[in-house]
Amino acid sequence: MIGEAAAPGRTAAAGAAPLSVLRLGRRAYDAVLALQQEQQAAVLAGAPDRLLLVEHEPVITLGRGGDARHVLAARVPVLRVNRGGDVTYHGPGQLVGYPILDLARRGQDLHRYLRDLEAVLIGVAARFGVRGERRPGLTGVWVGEAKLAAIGVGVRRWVAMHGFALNVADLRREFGMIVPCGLAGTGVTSLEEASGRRPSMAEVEEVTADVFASTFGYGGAA
Amino acid sequence: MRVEIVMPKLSDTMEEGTILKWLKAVGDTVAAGEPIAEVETDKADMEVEASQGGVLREIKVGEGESAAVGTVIALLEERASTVAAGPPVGSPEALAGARAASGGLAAGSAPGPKREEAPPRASPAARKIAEELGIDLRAVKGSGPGGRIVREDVEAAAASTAPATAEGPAAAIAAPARPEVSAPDIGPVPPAAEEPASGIVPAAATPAAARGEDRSRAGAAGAPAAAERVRPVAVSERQELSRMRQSIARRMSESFRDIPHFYVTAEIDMEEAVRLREALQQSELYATPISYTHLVLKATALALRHHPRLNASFGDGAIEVKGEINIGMAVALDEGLIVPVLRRVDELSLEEIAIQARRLVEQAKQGRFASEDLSGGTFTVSNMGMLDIEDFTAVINPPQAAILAVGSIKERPVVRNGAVVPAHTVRVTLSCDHRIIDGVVGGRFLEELKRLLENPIVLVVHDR
Repeated sequence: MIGEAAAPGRTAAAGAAPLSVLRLGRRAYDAVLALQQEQQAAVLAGAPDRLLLVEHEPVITLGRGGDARHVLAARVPVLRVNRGGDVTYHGPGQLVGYPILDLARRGQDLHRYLRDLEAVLIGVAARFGVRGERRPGLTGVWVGEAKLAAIGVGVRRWVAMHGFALNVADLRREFGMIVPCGLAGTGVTSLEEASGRRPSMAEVEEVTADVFASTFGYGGAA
Repeated sequence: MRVEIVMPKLSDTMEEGTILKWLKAVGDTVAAGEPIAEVETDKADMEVEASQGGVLREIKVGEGESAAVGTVIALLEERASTVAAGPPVGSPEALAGARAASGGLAAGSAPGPKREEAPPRASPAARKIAEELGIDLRAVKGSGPGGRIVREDVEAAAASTAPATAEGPAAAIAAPARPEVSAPDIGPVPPAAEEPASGIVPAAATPAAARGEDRSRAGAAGAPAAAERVRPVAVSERQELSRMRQSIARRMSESFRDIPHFYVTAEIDMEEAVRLREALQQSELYATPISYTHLVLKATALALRHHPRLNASFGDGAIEVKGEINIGMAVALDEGLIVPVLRRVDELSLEEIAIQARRLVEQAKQGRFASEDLSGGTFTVSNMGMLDIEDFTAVINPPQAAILAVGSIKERPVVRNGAVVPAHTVRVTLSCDHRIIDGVVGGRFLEELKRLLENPIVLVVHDR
């Protein structure tokens, strides 16, 4: 099942195409990484942008700059991947988004892209009554001192892969296995913890696709 | 000719980037547009490509190092035949010209080589789905009138197991033979309700063209097929010495190298001391609680009075017996240890010792102390009673002649009147400078210390 067509009531930019959203359900990290690389190749060949939404099986990933010492206890597989950032955890209860976007069509500005991703996640959090914020120098979205969503991007010829991970359910126990993004002493939070309610994954996917599409100027999510 | 590869400006707000990884080594042949390094800025990781083909001659910025935008990061020996059609990101031209090239309007006038071929005949619906799925229409066989490609042909191509063309990876998105990517929820995308504006399609095709070559091969070229599995092993790390650590290292080496240490250990029955401490606490006689450390300090000071050889220094061929009994207390800090000095301890009452010792330790832990608080010690007490240890030996703190190491107070079996009974005891070990202290002198000092602590009422009564 693909997400619905442009949400009614949201006025899309006149003539703007809808964004293709692929909802993958729960998948192993490796399989989706291979899919991302295929999708990136497709966008490099001129295909339109797309957004992959997935919930991963438990895994710890290290960005290129990641320090293996920030993995404190590995009860789950640890992978090194071609994205920026340090170490992070993915697993059930977290919505992972992989926008495969051609940044050459968007002014070729990596920092602006990271800030745009933050804007999407702040917008999603707001829809669940959570006030997410940016912290200068610390890419991601924060609620107070705790990290709500992590961002890490890999770019090849201006086509981006990897993306963001939004904590939906309370994952503090799982994050106990790592020092998130190498920032010792900072905690993680989630939509569940910050709002006092645990939204369904489908609900968060819906909202994320919608906010993403409007933030990046698409005529809704399809 | 040598070509400079510079740190690309990947954002208006980017000032410097970090080289995460060199994908090519010096001496490697590099094709134009081939990725040669990965650069990180903020939390984005970008491949930098060679602007021209050639041989990599020099790497100027190593992995893990940062460089300002525009800095030369590598030198390439150019080979004229492999000049790229367009400026890739790492070239100086790209710094200036990339933004113009990426504008949508420039598109129509600069179609890429692939787009120059006559487009295959296809229905609008087929084109749309092909674009959505990233299917190359040139690889699809049309079943409509005159070989025209219709929607069903594209869907069939998308569902086919084998990638049909060089752009196969895109086609494989929906291939059912790849179980991990082919669940029902990534089937073909239904046509959108509204037609895209006519300008959209060429604009979307433009950046690929502007980049000068078929980018689809990049997917096959450099990208690793799967993530590399790593074992989170503990990595050794070089830590520079803090000034405190440097000082400890120097003084302890000097001490252990120059001072012939010997050690004497005694086990002291602390039953009376335990009772005394409880009684003092209940009586509220003193303004501050008395700890075992305070009792040991007081007893040590009194014992030192009778054994001045332990309160002395060796130097210049002579023994200097100190006039004051100033006892240093070793205090553990996160990054080392520090020894604040309590002065004229033999002249202090137990209560005064408690007040002053507590203040000194507190200040030491907070890093607030005057240099005189750390100097002038004539003897040191090192207490590890807070840890569950039996006994330990300490290294003499020069120019002092002895140091007392205090273990934990715990219940141990002792023999009393011919019977084994449990009693609180503590083991203390005295380290002595054998140049000026003989074994018997050290032993006598410990004997007196033991007598005082086993009859602790003396420590309360003795006011001066």
